[in-house]
Amino acid sequence: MIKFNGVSKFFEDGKEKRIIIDNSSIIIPQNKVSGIIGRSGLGKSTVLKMILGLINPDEGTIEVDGQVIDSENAKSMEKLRRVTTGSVFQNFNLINSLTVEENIMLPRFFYENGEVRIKNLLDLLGLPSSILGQSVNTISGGEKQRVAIARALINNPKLLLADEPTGNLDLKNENSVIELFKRINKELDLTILLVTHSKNMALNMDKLYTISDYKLTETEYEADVKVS
Amino acid sequence: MNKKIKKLAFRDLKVNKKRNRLTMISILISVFLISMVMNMGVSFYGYMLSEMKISREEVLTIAFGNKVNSLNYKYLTLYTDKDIELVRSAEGVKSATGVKGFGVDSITYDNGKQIITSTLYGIDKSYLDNLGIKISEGKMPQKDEEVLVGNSISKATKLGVGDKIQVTVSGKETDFVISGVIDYQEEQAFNTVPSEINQMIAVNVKSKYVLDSKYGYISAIAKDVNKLSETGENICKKLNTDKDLKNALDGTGISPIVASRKDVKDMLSTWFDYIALFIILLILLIGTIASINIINIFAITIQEKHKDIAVYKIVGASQKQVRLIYVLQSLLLGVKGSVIGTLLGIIFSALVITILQWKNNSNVIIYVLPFVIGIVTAFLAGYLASRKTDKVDVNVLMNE
Ligand SMILES: Nc1ncnc2c1ncn2[C@@H]1O[C@H](COP(=O)(O)OP(=O)(O)O)[C@@H](O)[C@H]1O
Ligand SMILES: [Mg+2]
Repeated sequence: MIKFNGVSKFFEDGKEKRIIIDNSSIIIPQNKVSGIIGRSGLGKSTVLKMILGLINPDEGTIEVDGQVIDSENAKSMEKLRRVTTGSVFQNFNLINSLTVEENIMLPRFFYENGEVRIKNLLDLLGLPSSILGQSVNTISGGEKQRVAIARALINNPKLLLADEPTGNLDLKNENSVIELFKRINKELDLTILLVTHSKNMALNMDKLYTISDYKLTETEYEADVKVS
Repeated sequence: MNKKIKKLAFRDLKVNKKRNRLTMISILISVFLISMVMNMGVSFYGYMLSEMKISREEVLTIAFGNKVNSLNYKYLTLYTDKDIELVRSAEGVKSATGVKGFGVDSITYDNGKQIITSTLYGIDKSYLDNLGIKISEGKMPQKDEEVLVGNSISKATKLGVGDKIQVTVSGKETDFVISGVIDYQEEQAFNTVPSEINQMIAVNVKSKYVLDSKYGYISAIAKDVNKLSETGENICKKLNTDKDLKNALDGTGISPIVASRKDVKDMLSTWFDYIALFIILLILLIGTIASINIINIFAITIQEKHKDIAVYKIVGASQKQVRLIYVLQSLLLGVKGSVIGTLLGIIFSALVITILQWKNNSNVIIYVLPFVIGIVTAFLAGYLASRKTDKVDVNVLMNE
């Protein structure tokens, strides 16, 4: 589903060039729940940004669902975000002036891909339909996270990307969100890529990747994963 | 799809109610000012034109003065019968008549009542015809001792046709009988009719009382209204051949000049060109200020909402769609402000025009143009501001 071919990423830090990712090649498989784990500042979000076409790698190429990612190509990136990806963030990034329903439907304000299955989604995410009319300011953190996931799924994407989806949740909520991602993966046949620094979360992935020595690589054993 | 984007735009407007209302009011005030300026300008122009219309356009007044400003002319009693002939012979002149003038000290009536007045004219009928003035009562003076009086004098003295009047000219008293009264209704600000016409006392130009006097000015009629300037030049050329006149004026800097309604018209249209230019500049200025205001306010809104905009982008909004959200907001404020501003502008200008007794000269274009300017300004400003959304970086959603 996602292919990294010799991808490198640097940032200019003042005059110095800082390596974040160095010549990494990985393949993230379809219809699995995959995770990138690592402590803060390693470059996990940078990897997601490259997948979403928000920034370009300095070397190498990234393919998502057969589409070569180029952040400069606005039309192609628009298509990527409309039909291929759905994104969830640590801060939920809901729009306060809109109701829960409008937040969920937001992607369809701009583009309608496939059927709307808001009822199914609510059931799947364990949200009561009474929540739809509410203002997003009045719902809990856990509910906000589910609403954000519903929004990411409403346009029937092939790939769900989540950056620290449990970063703002307590352990109990985190566990239920992990369960949720697994259920979504099963029910919707969706590829999911999560980025996390939570070991608890990493333990539950089908596939796990780490960034060490600037290399993004697949990790076989949970025990190898060092998280601080 | 645009319906949903409209929904987003209008929802956004509600969030920042206070700020957006202020933006709307600033558009409203701008449109109101533009509407006022345009409505009043056009009505003022119409008023001025109507003021000029009644005068007979083909009348030329040949007097004396400085060439630079032919409207600033003087009556010097220097023209002779010969000069009238010269004027008549000038190309483009249909007819010409001279007007004589004497200084008058006062008039006495009703056994001793006195009023001070200005000039004793010597005129003939064609002078009145040239100016379009009618004798409202009686007839032209024929005998030496008959006078025509202006209606102000008739009113002040309560004298009419057949009544006696004593005129003191340079200390010398002479008895006259009123043969007629003229009543000139001066309804206009700009014309070639002397303003003192209603205070005039006039004898026949052939009367012995003005026999020794020369003509103060010559009133001529041009054949072609469209050739007033050329005809005027022809007349001046002819008059310059009069050696006596030349000698009399030598070294004074004064020369014969010809004034016509065209000069008034030219002067007015020069004014109006300036006024129109001023109005256009004013409209541009008001529009610019309104635009800057809208752009600034939307720039602030976009800055504040940059996270929402990043969300729109990450869920698949195109550049155009994001811009549209803000263009629509600006347009809506523009429409609201323009409708109210235009209506208030029309109502208030009509009120002012009525109070000033100008003629309402507005038309559909003058009514609608401020509205259009308001909407176009709001659209352009909204569009310019909306381009700032292009710069919103989606990465902010992940930079925590
Ligand atoms: N635009 C940028 N310019 C310079 N440095 C950056 C930029 N974005 C991220 N970085 C740096 O790259 C490193 C990785 O960042 P990030 O991918 O956000 O880490 P993570 O998500 O793993 O916490 C950090 O040290 C961060 O400071
Ligand atoms: Mg991160």
